[in-house]
Amino acid sequence: MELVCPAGNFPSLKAAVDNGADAVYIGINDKTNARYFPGLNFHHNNLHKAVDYARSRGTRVFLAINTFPQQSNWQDWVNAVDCGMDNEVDALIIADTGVLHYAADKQASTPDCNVNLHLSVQGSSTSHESLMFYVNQFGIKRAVLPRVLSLKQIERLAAKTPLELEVFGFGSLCIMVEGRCYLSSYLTGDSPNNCGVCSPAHAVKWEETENTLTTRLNDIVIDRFKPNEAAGYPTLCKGRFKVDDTVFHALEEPTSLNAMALLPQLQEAGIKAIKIEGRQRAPAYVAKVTSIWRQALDNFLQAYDSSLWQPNSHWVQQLASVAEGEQTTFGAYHRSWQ
Amino acid sequence: MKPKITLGPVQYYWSKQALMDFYAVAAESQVDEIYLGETVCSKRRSLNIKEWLGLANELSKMGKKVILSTLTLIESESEISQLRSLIKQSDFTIEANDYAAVTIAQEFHKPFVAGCTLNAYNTQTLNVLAKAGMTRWHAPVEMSQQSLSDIMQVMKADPILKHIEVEIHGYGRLPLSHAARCFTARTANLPKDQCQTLCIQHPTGITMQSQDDDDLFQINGIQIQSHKPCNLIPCMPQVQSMDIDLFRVYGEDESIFELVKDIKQQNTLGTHIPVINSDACNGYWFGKPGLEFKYDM
Repeated sequence: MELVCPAGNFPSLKAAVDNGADAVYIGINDKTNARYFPGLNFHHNNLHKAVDYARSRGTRVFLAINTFPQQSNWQDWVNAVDCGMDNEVDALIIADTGVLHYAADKQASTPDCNVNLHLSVQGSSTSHESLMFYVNQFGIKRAVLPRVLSLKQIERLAAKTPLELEVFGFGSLCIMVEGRCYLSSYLTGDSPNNCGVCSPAHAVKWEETENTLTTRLNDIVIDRFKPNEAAGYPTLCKGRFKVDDTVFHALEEPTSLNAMALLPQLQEAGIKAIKIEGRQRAPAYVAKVTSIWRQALDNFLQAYDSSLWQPNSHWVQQLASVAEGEQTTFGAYHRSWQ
Repeated sequence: MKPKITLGPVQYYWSKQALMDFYAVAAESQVDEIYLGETVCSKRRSLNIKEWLGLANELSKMGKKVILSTLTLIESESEISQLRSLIKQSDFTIEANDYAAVTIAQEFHKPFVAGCTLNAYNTQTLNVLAKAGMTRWHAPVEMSQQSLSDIMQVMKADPILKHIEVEIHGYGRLPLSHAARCFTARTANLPKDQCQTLCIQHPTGITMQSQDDDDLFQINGIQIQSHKPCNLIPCMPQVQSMDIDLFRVYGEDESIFELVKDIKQQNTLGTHIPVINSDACNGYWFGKPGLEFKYDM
């Protein structure tokens, strides 16, 4: 199983590569990627440095072009695909059907093109039949599965599909089917699909009064924290809301996904790659998470009986310490979470 | 006269009787076309495939064009086999809300409507879908009037896309997200597998407020909707001048048919529907946050 790690900038890319990522995924500094945050990502003219550094150390590079162009800004996505192909990245991770069409055409008309096409998690593909649309139309090699499938569903899907499958192993947890969540644009105008952001910083307000810290998105209260509570970033789906006069995390608690303990089942199912979320995180985070997952995967792959393998409790604690809300979950992999 | 008014599929879990009563009124109403079927949760089984098709035939005989709408989030083998049976058995056009439905429609050489969750935001995507059998495109809910206008200009000049009908979400709560988790079950502290199909007790969903009592969202099983209905009726002159083919409305009860009557009257006689309920939204149309509302054009 391959370890695919996030790199929001060059220091993070170095951190991921130096700590044992098999592949890194990066984005271009515009709306073409789903982590379009200030100060993050690579430019058209320095992306080759990322490719050079990673490749010289045997790490593959995937370019995420995982948002949806409108008619008026289509050219930016074309430029992103061209940039990835010109720099000979190993794969383009694409969400939009039109962009996939463009990339597949370009791939076919470029002699000796070794750039693979991967379907992004933002493509919302959760079944064999859906995946086959992209296989038949564009010859995609791999798909990243949305974080909505249970382990059983993943096993059945993997048994049926001819594609390589990549699943999320660790990081922030999107609980809605990716690519089809418009909650953020409903409150702020910007969504992952159209702007590459969720609950964007420009809409966030922190308001401290005597005994309460209130977080808002476009003036709407997302949560209120008492002095003894850890206050988190106001991601819309992780806030506390009122339902029938009870205030609670109506959608999800602030928590991170950690599927490390499921490695035996994921391996058995034939999952090809484990993805670590977090291009927005600091290089130190990327270094720590990559290093722990590298140790875990190596240990797992060398295990005498991998079906009995369990993660070392030290790794689990270390990962929880950097997780959102300092807690982790199996998310949708376990039916009980659903 | 454009736009035709279409009735979206019922988004909630209603009993068989409630559905039959609703569609009996729909049959007599002024809606031009009716989308039928379960689009949110496969556990909602008030009608089986045979009964949906029976209802479709009845409505068709009464002069309504019928389209069979399909599930938005498809996760299990049983959901796929239900989808395959529906598409195979149906003589009606289907609405594909997931690419699995596109693949199966292609397999049986059936035309389809591309639902809003297929995320077709540009003509390059529409061209791929048109070649796969799309006859109509429902714009994504967050698409602005400007983006829609840009795309329609290109469509009109394209030999294939000029034949594709364009539909928008004209009135009703917006489908904003779908998840593996059932949020209705969560409000009762139940996991989805033991949900007791609680949704049937909430025929228009459950309101989710901010801690300051703003009505934000509507919990509807695995779906989250806007609490406020999207209302593009005040934008009708623009909708007509853009030559949009279909204006979809969603009902929470039978009062929707009164509204359809008013819309029809407005469109033919040029009367103006007063906006009585300002508790609506249409921000997306103006390229703003979806929850904003502008009605004083």
